[in-house]
Amino acid sequence: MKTPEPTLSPELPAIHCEQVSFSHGEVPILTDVSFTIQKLDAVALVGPNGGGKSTLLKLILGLLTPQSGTIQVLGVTPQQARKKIGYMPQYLQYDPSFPVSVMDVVLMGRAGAIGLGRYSAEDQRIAMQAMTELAVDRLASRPFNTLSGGQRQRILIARALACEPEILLLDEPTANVDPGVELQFFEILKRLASRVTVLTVSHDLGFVSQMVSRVFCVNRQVNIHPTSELTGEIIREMYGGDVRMVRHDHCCSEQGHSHAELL
Amino acid sequence: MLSYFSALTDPDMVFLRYALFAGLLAAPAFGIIGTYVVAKRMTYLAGAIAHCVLGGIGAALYCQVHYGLAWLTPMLGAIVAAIGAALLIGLISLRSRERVDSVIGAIWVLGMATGIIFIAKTPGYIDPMSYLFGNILMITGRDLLTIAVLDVIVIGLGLLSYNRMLAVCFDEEFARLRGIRTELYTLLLLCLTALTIVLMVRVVGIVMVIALFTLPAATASHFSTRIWQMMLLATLLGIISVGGGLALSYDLDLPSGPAIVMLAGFFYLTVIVGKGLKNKLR
Repeated sequence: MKTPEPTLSPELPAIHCEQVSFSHGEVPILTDVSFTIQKLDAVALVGPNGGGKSTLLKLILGLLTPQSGTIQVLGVTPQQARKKIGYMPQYLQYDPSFPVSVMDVVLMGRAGAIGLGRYSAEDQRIAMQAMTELAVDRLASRPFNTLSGGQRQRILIARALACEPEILLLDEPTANVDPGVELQFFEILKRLASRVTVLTVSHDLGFVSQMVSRVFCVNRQVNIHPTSELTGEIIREMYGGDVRMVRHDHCCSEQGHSHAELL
Repeated sequence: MLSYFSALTDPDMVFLRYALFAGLLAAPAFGIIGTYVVAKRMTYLAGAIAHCVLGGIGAALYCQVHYGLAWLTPMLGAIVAAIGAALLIGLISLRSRERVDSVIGAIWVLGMATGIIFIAKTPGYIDPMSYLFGNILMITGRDLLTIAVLDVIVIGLGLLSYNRMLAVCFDEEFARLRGIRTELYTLLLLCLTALTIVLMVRVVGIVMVIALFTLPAATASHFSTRIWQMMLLATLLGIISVGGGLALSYDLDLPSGPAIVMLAGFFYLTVIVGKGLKNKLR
C-alpha cells in the first residue's frame, strides 16, 4: 500500500474534507463527509448512481460549494488549487459538429496560461507529451469528432495531463470503453498514479481495485476501504453485484476509517 | 451581369459601390464572429441583439429632431443599443434564475417596440422599412468609415482571443477550471456580436442581419474540421453572398437585402440537401 502513514507525513495532504455536507435544494446529496487523501495516494470512488460521486468531484474542483464543512486541496481552497488539478469530466457537453482537431482539444489544457496570445512551443511540447503518454500522439491532427468513444476518453485524459496537474480527477474513465481496451487503461492509470495523486470514479470495482490503494464507497456518506482488504475472493464475491453491496456486506476496516478520524 | 460591373464604376451609382464596400468590409467580421456564434449555439441571442438595435436607432432619430442633437446619428444609437442589449442579455443568461429564453424573447420584442414608438413620435417621414429590411441608398461615406473602424476592432479582438475563445466555446466548465474567466469571454463574444450586427444593419436590415451571421458559418461548418477553416470559408461565402446578391438585385431590380440573404440561404439549403442525398445514396 502506497499510502504514507498520515501522522508521520509533514506534507500537506492532497485533499482534505471535513464534515462536508451538500444538498440540491431539499435533497441531501452528501452528508457529513470527512476524509483525507495524501499526496500520491490513489483512490477510487464507487457507489450507486446518484450516490454523490460526481458531486464530490465537483466540490473538490470548487465548481460546487458545500453548505457546511470545509474542503482543502493542497492546503488551500479548491478555487485556489484549481490550476493544479487535471479533470476529466464524465460527460462532455460536446457538440458533435464542433470543428476541432485532437491537438486543439489537448492544448485546451494549456489555455489558462496563454492570456490573449498563442500557444508557445513549450505548450505544444507538453500537449504532445501528454498524448504520447496515452499513446494517442498519432491522432493529433485528426478531427475530434471522428474518434471512437475510447479514443475520445484518452484524449480527455491527455487534456487533463496537459494541465501538468498534481492531482488528477477522472470521472468514469472507462465508460464507453470496450472491455479489451480497459486493460490498456489500467496500465496507463497505474503508471500515472506513480507521479500524481489520482482520484477516479468508477462503477467497476474489479477494475480499479488493482490500481488504487483505497476505495471510497460514496452513497450520501463516504466509507473507506483499503484495497488490501479487498483482494481475491472478496472482490470476486462483490464483482457483478450491486455496488451498494460493498457498503452493506463488507465490514469497514479499522484502518480505512482511522484515516478519516486521525486527520 | 456586365451592366452590374459597369454600374460599379459609374460615378452616378456611388451607392452601389458603397454597399459593396460595406459588404466586403463586414464579411470577415461576420465570418469570424458568426463562426463562434454558430459553434456556441447562440443564434437566438444574436437575433435578440439585432432587434434591439431598432430601439437605439429610433431613440437616436427622436433625439436628433426633438433635442437637436445632430451628433447622435442612427449609427451611434445602433451601436449603443447593440452593446447595451448584449451586456443585458449576457448578464441575464449568466445569472438569472428566470427561464432564459423567455427573458430574451421579451428583450427582443421590447427593443423593437421601443424603436417603432420613437420613430412614430419623430416628426417628418421616416420609413421604418429601410431599417428593418435594409436600404443601400442610405449608406454614406461616413458610415463606411464607421464600419471600417468597427471591423478592425471586431476582427482584432476575435483573432487575438482565438485560443481562449475556442476553449470557452468547446467546453466552458473545463475552461473555467483552467482559470479562464469564462463569463468575461462570453460577454466579450456578445459585444463583438453586437458590433458585427451594426456593421450590416444598413445593407440588409435588422430582421435579416442574423442570416448573414449564421448562414455562411453554418454552410462552412459542413466543410471544416477546424474553427479557423470555418471562419475562412464563412468569410468567403459572405463575400460571394454580398457581391452576388447585389448583382442579382441590380440586374433583376430586386431589393438588395433580401437578394443577399436569399443567396446565402440558397448555399446553405443546397449543402444540407446535398449532404442528405449523399448519405441516402451511400
